[in-house]
Amino acid sequence: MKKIIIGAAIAALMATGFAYAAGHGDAINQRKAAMKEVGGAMGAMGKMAKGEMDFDAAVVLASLEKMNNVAKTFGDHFPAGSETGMDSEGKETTAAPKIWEDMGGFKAAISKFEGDTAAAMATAPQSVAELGPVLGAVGANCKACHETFRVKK
Amino acid sequence: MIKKLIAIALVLGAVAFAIFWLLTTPQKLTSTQMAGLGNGNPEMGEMVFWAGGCGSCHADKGAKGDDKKRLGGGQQLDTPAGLFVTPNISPDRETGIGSWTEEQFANAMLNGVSPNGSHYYPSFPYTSYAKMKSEDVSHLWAYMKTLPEISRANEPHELSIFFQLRRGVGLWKTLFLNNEKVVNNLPDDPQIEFGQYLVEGVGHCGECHTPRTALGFGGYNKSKWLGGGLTPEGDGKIPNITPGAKEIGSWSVGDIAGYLKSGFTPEFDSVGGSMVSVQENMAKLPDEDLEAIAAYLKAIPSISD
Ligand code: HEC
Ligand code: HEC
Ligand code: HEC
Repeated sequence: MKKIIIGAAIAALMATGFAYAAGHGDAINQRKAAMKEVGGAMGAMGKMAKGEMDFDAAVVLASLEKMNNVAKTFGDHFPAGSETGMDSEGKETTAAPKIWEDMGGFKAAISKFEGDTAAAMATAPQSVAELGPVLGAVGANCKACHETFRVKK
Repeated sequence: MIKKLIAIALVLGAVAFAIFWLLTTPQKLTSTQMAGLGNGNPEMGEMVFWAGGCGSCHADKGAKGDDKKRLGGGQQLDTPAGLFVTPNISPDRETGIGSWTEEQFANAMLNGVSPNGSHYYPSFPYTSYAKMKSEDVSHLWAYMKTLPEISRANEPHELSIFFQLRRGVGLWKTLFLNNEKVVNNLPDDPQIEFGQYLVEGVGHCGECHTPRTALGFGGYNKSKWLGGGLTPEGDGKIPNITPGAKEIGSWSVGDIAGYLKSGFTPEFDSVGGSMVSVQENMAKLPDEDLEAIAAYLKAIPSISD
């Protein structure tokens, strides 16, 4: 009986330990997936701006909305303990230690991204000429955040 | 007998000291270096300024736009040798370098020697700037004289005891300071040659992208030129930018030049880390310069990740 209880306790511990590890892997998966979406949205608009793709106002609006949605929940994917680790494809996180040292600054950068994408949606660009400055304002967020809060591994 | 030994020891000591003193004697400008000075053009100098990235270290940390031209110094650079505080190089006569002559400036840039004849530490990347033409140093000087005067005195460096003696830097220089090309046997193409000048010299890309030999304060590991290094903070990697790199190995010349201009990769990921400041400097250069840099990066020996 004792053995079974101990066995069960060990199994339970292992299960929570596993869930814990998987949870952090999930956070890394989620934030990388979120950023891939942002990169894809930026790509669609960037190609229009460069003339590699026809301008489409609906796609622009959808792309900005995608970014805005990511910004709303992006801050949830950085629990303590997820500073290092890999996603399910075995790619290491490129989140910088600075995020956890300065969570306030990081959250502020996310809020700015949320605000700038919302403002961009409100202008609803109708031509490549109108897209340019909007893309500049939204795109500045990428560099500004990656400068401090991201590091290649 | 003992007297004789002491005498021999003294002589040997004196010889060793004399050799150390000779090896570590600060350089003076050569006549070739002198010949290029005196005809600086501030407009051309502005391009040298952005290519050289002076504002990334001598303006406030994270400075953007015109604030990068405010060269009051005071940025702290954390290195394995200790903490360096960048000096004021604005044209202010009291706290900056406004009272310097052009020759003194050129000797700092090309030989790493200060007006009072002592060595600079290589945290000032003169090992790369030494490969510049003195004409370009002259243009740069003419441009820097037009920048805002900032009155600001900075704290001294806080270096570990092994690195406090400036004279000792002279030994390091005999090993690592020269104006020779790093990569030989490149295709004979004026564009690649110009790219080489920008990358190996004024652009000092190797300072971050090439691994160091020992202690982080050693010279380049030339067999791994631009093959990637570690961030000075030790929290990550600086990528390989040779044709063998996993990431940029597949980029075209246009992709590389586009990244330096816009800060976006071909997949629309954005530039990050300390490269942001470098990229924002590069974006000020004409497209031909960025294409030359890219052509050079495609032509150098491949290092695999
Ligand atoms: C508020 C901060 C922040 C903003 C704003 C931001 N990013 Fe990111 N981004 C990150 C962080 C942190 C990571 C690293 C995630 C990881 O590896 O765990 C990242 C990673 C990425 C990645 C790599 C994803 C992967 O597959 O590993 C891409 C692509 C990307 N960002 C694109 C963008 C673009 C484009 C923008 C602007 C439109 C942008 N990001 C704006 C913080 C930000
Ligand atoms: C990577 C950072 C870095 C960059 C980039 C850099 N410097 Fe410096 N510089 C330094 C440091 C650190 C020192 C102090 C060296 C010492 O005390 O030995 C310095 C010293 C100097 C000095 C000597 C100042 C004095 O008061 O004696 C001059 C002049 C100078 N730099 C000019 C430049 C110019 C011009 C550029 C651009 C072409 C430039 N630097 C780019 C870090 C940098
Ligand atoms: C102060 C250090 C520093 C200097 C100087 C520097 N780089 Fe970088 N570079 C980096 C870092 C850090 C990255 C990674 C950027 C990131 O995290 O997105 C990088 C990335 C790059 C990339 C993209 C590689 C990739 O895999 O994403 C290229 C291309 C590049 N640098 C070229 C250059 C060139 C050309 C120069 C000289 C003009 C230069 N760099 C000078 C630090 C530096």
